[in-house]
Amino acid sequence: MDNKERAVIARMTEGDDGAFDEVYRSCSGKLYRMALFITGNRNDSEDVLQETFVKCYLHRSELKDPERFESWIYQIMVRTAWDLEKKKKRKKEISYEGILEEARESGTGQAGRLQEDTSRPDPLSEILKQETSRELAQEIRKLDIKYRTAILLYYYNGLSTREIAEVTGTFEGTVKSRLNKARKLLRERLERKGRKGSDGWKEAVL
Amino acid sequence: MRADWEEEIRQIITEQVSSVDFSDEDSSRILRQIHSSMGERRKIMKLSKKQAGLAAAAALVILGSITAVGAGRIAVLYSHTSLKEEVTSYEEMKARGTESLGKAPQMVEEFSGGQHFKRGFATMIDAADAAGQMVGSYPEISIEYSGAEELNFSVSKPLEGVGHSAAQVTEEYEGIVISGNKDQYLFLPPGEEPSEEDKKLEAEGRLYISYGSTAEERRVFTSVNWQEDGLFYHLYTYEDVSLEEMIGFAKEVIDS
Repeated sequence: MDNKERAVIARMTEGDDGAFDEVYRSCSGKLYRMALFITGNRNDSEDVLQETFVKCYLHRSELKDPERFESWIYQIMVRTAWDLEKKKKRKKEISYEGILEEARESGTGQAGRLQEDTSRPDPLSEILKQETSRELAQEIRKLDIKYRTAILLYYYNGLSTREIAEVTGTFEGTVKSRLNKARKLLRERLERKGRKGSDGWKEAVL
Repeated sequence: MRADWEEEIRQIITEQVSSVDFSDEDSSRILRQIHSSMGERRKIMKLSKKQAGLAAAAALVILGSITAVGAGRIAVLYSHTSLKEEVTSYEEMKARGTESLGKAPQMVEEFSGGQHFKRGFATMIDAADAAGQMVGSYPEISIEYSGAEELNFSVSKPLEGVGHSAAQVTEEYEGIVISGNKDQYLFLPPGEEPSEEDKKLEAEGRLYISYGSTAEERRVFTSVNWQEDGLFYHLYTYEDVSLEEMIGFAKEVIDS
């Protein structure tokens, strides 16, 4: 976090509405994408994003150290997404549309496009990689929301297990266990489909 | 070996997440919703913390008392108050009220109970029917008074054809009928379901249920309303103020 970001967050915590908007604009895209990965559909991720920033606004004075903003806002977003999932479960409204379809629609990793793209050195391996990616996305959607959250924060956000524990309000050991379980489930399911990663989807041990 | 696996899964997840489109239009649209929600939620929070009835609740009370607009029944009222639009000067609020309502509203800077002007908002209320169809919109000013008790006051130019339900108490003053009510309100967090007993009370018109608070909360709501010169006046509180006192305050506004 640079000095400018720190200053904007500090102004927001002191009640500056303009700074709040600035903070929203700087991190809403990332949070929306994270929420979509966790919730699995656009409507829910918009609701989660909106609720996260409303809570951020209402409780902004409670953030004493701007340096902690990122983990603080992740914590709010994750809790909001989990609460929403809980409510939907109660109402039996589970609908993980998955970001796979959206990624495909937006054009990333389309086999057809890759085949036309002659600048890529190895179109076949790219296609296989995309196929693996597609299957991995399918398997991710079947994971429990807490496992999905753990792998998102670990692999996408690059948080340590200790930081993930702080964000999700759990013990570090629980985070490690969730990550290992998620990896194991993904590996087993992909292997069952005959799909192998570059190293046979070896399970990592933290 | 482990590094390859780690790197591969990291790359795939990162690509999936990063590839999701989130346009500037989406971002701006959601920010507008947040702004709108912040205003309402902040008011509801204040209800919990300071035990005051504020503008968000005004919409509920109006909703509770409105019977019909034209041919369609009003089911929802949306307020567009923005916190950025708060007015902290009484004189300025009076001017904003005149501009917004098209005529000078009757209002006081301080009530005889010591409750004094704190801040106000000029806003538009959108009314929709049960199917979500907009029935119309009308201007409203809402004012908060602080002191021994917090009072809330609103003046609106209601939609043509708006009817109001029967009052528990009425009193005529200077040719104006002041209606008073003391009602039970239940505020619930979004998604929470009221109990069967509360649903029954609601059906009987003995309880008003509102969604959007951060925690379940029950309040007694005391309000008086009257119409004068085409404007609809509302004075209300969640605090311990009797209907008689509220009617007295209404007379002070009429005399102003």
